[in-house]
Amino acid sequence: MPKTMKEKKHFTQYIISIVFIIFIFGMAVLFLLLPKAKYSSNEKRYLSDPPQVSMQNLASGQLTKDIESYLTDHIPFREFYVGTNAYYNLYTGRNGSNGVYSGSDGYLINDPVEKENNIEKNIKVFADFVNENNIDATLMIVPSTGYVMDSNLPLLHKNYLDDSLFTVINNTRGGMKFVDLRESFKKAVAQGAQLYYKTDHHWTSKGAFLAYNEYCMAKGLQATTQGEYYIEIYDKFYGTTYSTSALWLNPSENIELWQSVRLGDVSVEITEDTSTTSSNSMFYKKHLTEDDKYPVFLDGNHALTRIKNSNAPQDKKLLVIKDSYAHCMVPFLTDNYGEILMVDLRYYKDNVSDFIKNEGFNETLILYGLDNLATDTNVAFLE
Amino acid sequence: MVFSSLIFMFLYLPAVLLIYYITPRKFRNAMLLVANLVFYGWGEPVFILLMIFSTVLNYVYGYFIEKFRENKRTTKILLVTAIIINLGVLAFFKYAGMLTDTLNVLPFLNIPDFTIPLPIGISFYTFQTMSYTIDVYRGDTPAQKNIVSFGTYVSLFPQLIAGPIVRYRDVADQLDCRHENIEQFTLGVKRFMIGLGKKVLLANSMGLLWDTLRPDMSTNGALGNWVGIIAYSFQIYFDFSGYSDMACGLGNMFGFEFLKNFNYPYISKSITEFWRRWHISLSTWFRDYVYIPLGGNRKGVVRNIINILIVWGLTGLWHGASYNFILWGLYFGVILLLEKFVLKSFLEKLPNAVKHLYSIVLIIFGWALFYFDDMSQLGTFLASMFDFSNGVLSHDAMVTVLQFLPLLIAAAVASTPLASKLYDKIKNYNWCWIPETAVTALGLLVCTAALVSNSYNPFLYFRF
Repeated sequence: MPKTMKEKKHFTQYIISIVFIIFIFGMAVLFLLLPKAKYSSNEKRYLSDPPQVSMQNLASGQLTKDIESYLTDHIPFREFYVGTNAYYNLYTGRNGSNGVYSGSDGYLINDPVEKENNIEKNIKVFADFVNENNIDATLMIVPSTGYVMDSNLPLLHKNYLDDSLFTVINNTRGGMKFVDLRESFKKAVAQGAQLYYKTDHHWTSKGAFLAYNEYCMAKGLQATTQGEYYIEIYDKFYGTTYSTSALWLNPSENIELWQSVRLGDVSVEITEDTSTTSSNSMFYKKHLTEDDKYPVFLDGNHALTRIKNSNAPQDKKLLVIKDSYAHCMVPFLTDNYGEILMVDLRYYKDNVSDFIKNEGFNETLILYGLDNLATDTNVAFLE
Repeated sequence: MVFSSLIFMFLYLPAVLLIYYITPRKFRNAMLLVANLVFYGWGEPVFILLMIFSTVLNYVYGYFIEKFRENKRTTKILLVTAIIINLGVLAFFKYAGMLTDTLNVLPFLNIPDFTIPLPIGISFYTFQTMSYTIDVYRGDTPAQKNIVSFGTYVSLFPQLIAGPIVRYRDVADQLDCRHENIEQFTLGVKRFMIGLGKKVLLANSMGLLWDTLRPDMSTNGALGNWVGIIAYSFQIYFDFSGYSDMACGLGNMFGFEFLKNFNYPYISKSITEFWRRWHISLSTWFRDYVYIPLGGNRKGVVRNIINILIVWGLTGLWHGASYNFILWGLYFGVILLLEKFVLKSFLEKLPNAVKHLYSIVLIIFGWALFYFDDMSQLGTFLASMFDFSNGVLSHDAMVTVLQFLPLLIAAAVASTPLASKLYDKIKNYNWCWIPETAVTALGLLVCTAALVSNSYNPFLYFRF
């Protein structure tokens, strides 16, 4: 017979009640006492403000909603719990967390885009735009990280659709030149180059430099060679796939700023709504103190960004219709174009062809990441 | 408010427990009543009025039915009007939309569409208050003199919004005289944790798997769609039984003891057995308040068949204001009839494995009926379960299924009494508190993590 304690009631029977009580009361008390953060840098959003108590809010049900969001935004140890859940997902078979695969060598890679997507529709809009404005246009689509880095993906992953989508793009592009990066990227990766960040969905400066070379080759331009750059390296970069996955134990990585020796006087003008700010550098180093350092390139997303380089041919003007992948590559292009105007259709809602007509932009580069373009719904309004 | 939320676990529950246990015994029902109303009115404060109306109505009816006990005619009129008003309120809030949609099919009618938000839990507490009035009428229980105690029963937050349907007579004694104690409290913690784990860790993941597979039903391949509907079967079981477990556990923490609502339904060897194991409080309710009053099986085979179909049509309709629910109920009604009158002797001869397979396949098809309220979508889905033109399992569906395989296995094991048997084996050893505590602590951690993560929304496309 095993030793039992049937007869004698022992306090150990009740330990789970004690654990439970301490846990729920502890969380409640800490929530009430701990100071509250205003901003979540991982989520890039402001957290909820304390609820406004009033009879009106109470009767409408708004008060209870506000209390709930205040609690969920400021629950004690929030990041710890989010991370715990991410690792729970990872270790119960999901191969990653929140739509991000946890690959080998620290790569956190977004899962593939949906089969139903906007690629064909968006490319068609660009083709029509180029046709109507009768402009020399080049299309460059950055392949998905997962497609190029497939050897780093976990064994079990959904298929990346790049090959079929690039075929669609090629069939829909109309009069645009097309710089297909797939082959050169795969080759460079096989030789050990890091073209994509491990903790972010963007390409690295090396990736953008390679794309710049491909672009110059397609356009017959003289590309600046790798030896002609001062390269600065900064560490502790935690990008978007890191914060999405919440796999907090994944290591950080480096980010490189490549500055051409051929650069002359540079001016960058950023226009947002009606206000314009300017700078004499393409690198906004204040962002290097943040976790996500990618906005160091041209200060991140803005409606209009105009860059002038006094050492480049002044008659060469390039209009870039783009998403954030361009921020890292456009600094390379400044060696070849005296003036570059970047338009972000997510924020710029006015007429784009006016720039072509009124300001003499006679070349256009359309540059998007495949994943972004597949989900983008703003391109449709391009005119 | 739902139990599996941060607001419940880390604000409401600690506050209510604290106030409850420092309140002197004779005021505890009043205190609970207030807490119940806060719980109920949390999302839609206006529905508190409905709750108060329902409470006062049935209290008054109970009072007068008992008072005029000697006068059969008067009590009968009282009972009938009580039932009409109770069902009328339920019909108004729950079925008005369905009714107008149906009537509008007639060419000369054009009733404007009015959608009323469904008061949470109305199907549950309407059935509870009706059980009270009917039981008082039948003399099965004395009327409750104290309106506070009665209000506490009607609005009792643990079972208020998703059952179990607690009959008044089952808790009448506990309402006025219950002895909260640490043993019962600890039992409550265990049951609450089991329910929380079922809901947060199993039901939600199975729901995610079903939601991932379902949109691609045309390309998943047949096996992918089978896994999809199996995942949904797990989702609905763990969601519902998890909620019942949490309700029973919370009841225990406040000194109540509710009857068991689920008893491993997926291990049934027949559909008859399934319905003895699934949502027991609802089946019992329909048996006691509809089937038996209709005559049950005492009025000949034809009446028995009609009675069974009425009960199952209503059981279906109770689940939602849509025709597929009636179809779902009748589907089981017909199977139960077949088992009762035709298949019984044949089924008994089959090996157990076949009986299990027979039952689970019929149950799974039932959940497909339950899920799709659009008949053409249902047809498409059922066809896709037997369509091998896309192969057995597409690559993407395979990836999805394998990613959830550990959780699918966990769900399958958790649908059987295996863990419970294992626990029975070790619970008398004096080291049992170690694994018990470890599992509780780990469960709290992982469940809280999952709940917190729901609110983690990286807003990544905002100007980075």
